Amino acid sequence: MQKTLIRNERLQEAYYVAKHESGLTIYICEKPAFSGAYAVFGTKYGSVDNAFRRRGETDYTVVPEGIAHFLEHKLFESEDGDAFARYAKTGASANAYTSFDRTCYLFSCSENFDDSFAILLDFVQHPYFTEQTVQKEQGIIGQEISMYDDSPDWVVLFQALNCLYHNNPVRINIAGTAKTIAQINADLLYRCYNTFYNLQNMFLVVSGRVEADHVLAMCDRYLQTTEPVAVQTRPYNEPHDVVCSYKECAMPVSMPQFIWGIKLDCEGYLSLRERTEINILLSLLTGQQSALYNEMLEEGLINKEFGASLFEGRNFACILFSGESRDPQAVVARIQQALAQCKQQGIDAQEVELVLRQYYGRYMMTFNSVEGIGDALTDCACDGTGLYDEADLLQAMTVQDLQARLNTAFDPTRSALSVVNPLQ
Amino acid sequence: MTPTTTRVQLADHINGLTVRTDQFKTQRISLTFMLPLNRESAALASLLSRLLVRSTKQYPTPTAVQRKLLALYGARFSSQVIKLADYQLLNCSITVMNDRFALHGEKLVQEAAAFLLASVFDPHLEEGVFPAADLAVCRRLQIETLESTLNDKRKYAISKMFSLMCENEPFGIEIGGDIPTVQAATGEQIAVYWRNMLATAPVTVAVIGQEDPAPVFSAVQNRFAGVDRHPCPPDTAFVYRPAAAVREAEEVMDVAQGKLVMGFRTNISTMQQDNMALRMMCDIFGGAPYSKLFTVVREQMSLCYYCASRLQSQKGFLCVDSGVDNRNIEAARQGILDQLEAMRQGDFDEAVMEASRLSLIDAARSVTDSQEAMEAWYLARLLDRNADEPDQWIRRVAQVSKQDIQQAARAVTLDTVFALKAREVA
Repeated sequence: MQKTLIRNERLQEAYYVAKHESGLTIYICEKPAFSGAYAVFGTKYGSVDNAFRRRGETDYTVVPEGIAHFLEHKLFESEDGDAFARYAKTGASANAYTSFDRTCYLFSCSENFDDSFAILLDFVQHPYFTEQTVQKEQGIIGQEISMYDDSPDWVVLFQALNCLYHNNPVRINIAGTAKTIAQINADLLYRCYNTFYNLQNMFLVVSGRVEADHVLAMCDRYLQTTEPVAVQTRPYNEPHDVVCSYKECAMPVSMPQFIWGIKLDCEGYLSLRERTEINILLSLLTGQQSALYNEMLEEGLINKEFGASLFEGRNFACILFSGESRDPQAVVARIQQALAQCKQQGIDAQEVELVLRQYYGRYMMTFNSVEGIGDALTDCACDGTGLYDEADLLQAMTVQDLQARLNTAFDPTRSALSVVNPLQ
Repeated sequence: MTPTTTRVQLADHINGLTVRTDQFKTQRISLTFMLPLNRESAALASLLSRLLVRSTKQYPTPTAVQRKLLALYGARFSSQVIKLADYQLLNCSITVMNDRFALHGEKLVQEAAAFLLASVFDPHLEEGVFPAADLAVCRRLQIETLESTLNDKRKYAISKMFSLMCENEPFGIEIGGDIPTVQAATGEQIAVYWRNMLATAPVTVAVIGQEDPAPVFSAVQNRFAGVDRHPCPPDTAFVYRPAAAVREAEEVMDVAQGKLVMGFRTNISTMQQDNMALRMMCDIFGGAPYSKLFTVVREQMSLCYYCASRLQSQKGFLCVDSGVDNRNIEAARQGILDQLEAMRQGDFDEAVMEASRLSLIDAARSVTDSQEAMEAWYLARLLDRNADEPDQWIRRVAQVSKQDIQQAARAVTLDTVFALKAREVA
């Protein structure tokens, strides 16, 4: 298998990219100074992929909400026991997660990498679903859903997404509901698996104390080439405007939790430039050095939970300001005021210089752990960027770029506030 | 460069800890003070911890501090208070990018070290006390943090259980203090507390990364040369307090999922002896996916989403917590106790013991892959009789026998049960 080395001198970092004959893209970052290794085997399939058809089919299959996550749980099982039992023989620490646009199976270990890697490659490629095991899982996932229902962070997020999006499936809870997961059966799981778990739609990431050639040789041994699957997810029309500008609910929390979101247009993934510029703007506006942050903190409007982030993935992107406040409306008014002021008066070049420094330093910290590198490569696998592209972008970024982005991306007419209030 | 650990004594009860390694992009430096834990000191330490990172003499406003950190390429500067048995550790740290990556040849590590020391030794004071305006903000933030315990039901239930189980021990006191004590603390009291901390607390200075620790150590020595030190070493005596009867409590809340937390005591404390058998027992009982609580109570009985056990080594506590439906609480409790009995009876095989050994060894080996994990490893062992290096620890894992584990399981006695129940809709 051919591998390409990608290197960055300033960062003193390098990694390989290879394309297996099955179509699987493989990323490997050798880190011999570390004692551990980390591997992620993932598919570009998540909770948003809930209506799809394969080449040759005319109708879309609409699957129950939460099925990608359910599949993740069930994939650990095989006819002769579960993958955790196999990992128990290697000492690796294994896990998996399902997000909006991907499902990833991973492990980290400091010994017996080969054995663990073989387990990972094997169980992800070998589904085994029966009605009986599906039923048992409904109880366990039902409990997991209850746990999320009690999490104010989760509730305030999905309430915000439901304010922002009419039809985009990002508004659907990743784990589904007790009602939707009750509709899941073995046939549906196989249908999703056979559609989305083909190696052309998947990626493999390995970082840490490994040798690239050895990893690739193992891939050759364990990867099974299958027929490529062409899949189309059902298109939907997402209006420009938000659904509503405000929603609230009540839960046992100590004080109101809020998210104020601004909807962005997004087809596929936002460009790296767009993302980086928005992130830098968010640091400028709401970072701990900013006037806005410090004024609100001193006045008692926010606490250390306050933060702003770009929430994005395949076909969705929004800016989220979140935190706890006795008066979320007042916080939103202040952010809007600061945005308007910044748009009008322009961005301070000196502040930009400082924030860019911070951004560079924090970016550098990504490379402090094999998990950090592996997760960053996972993002690259999904959105098609290179791991060091951001370093080059940062060097070339100008105040004018940022000002232009501020004027287009931060549109308060496309925003919504979600609040979780304490119970009366 | 293989990570190498060195310990040096810088002064009476001031210890330097170095891990030299070039695998990271950053250098981490921290100062940790060991302080007694009681109702008042919990509140004072939490407020002091906030005040020290809020502003300093040289950078007297939060904005000034934060701008300095940006200039240091986004150095992470923070403080925290950690509970360790009946003590609390006030830990101030800075993690900064190594000089070799600086874009303009700055001496980042040196500057960051000076900044950290100044935050601890030269805080922002007015007439010798912490300013009222600073304190007002920190007090509000601390109270909001304390109130927010309610938001995470899992943590809330565990904390409730321990405050019941240890109502007569410092360990039962919440880190962060209670609201009335935080409310009442004055800038003067906190200044006295701070001076007293510098004078009496045992100190650990950790320097982790590729840079030479010597300049940091000598700067620390110089700083302490100006302090009239009379250190108070910690009391590492262990008192075993077996429960006369199981304490039970419950609370009803508007939640979807109930929580069941069970507190157990043992007479095995790392302040006195090695606890590797108990650690393995806890791991096989409920510490991993191959454990009894995971495979039986969660997977076979389908009673809960999570059901796990963890150990507090110095106090010899074992805590099991789980998320369950109201109707399953009794069954889960019985299931957990049955599995404990199975541990005592030796109902586990060599394969699960080997799984546990591998997993514990793997976890210990991975400690050197993170600066934070290395620091946490050493801090967690400050009160232990045998403060192991990861390598020594790994060697001891191999020596534990099945009988040792059964014996450790027999030492585990139920003390307190706390249930958080979902309100039933009529």
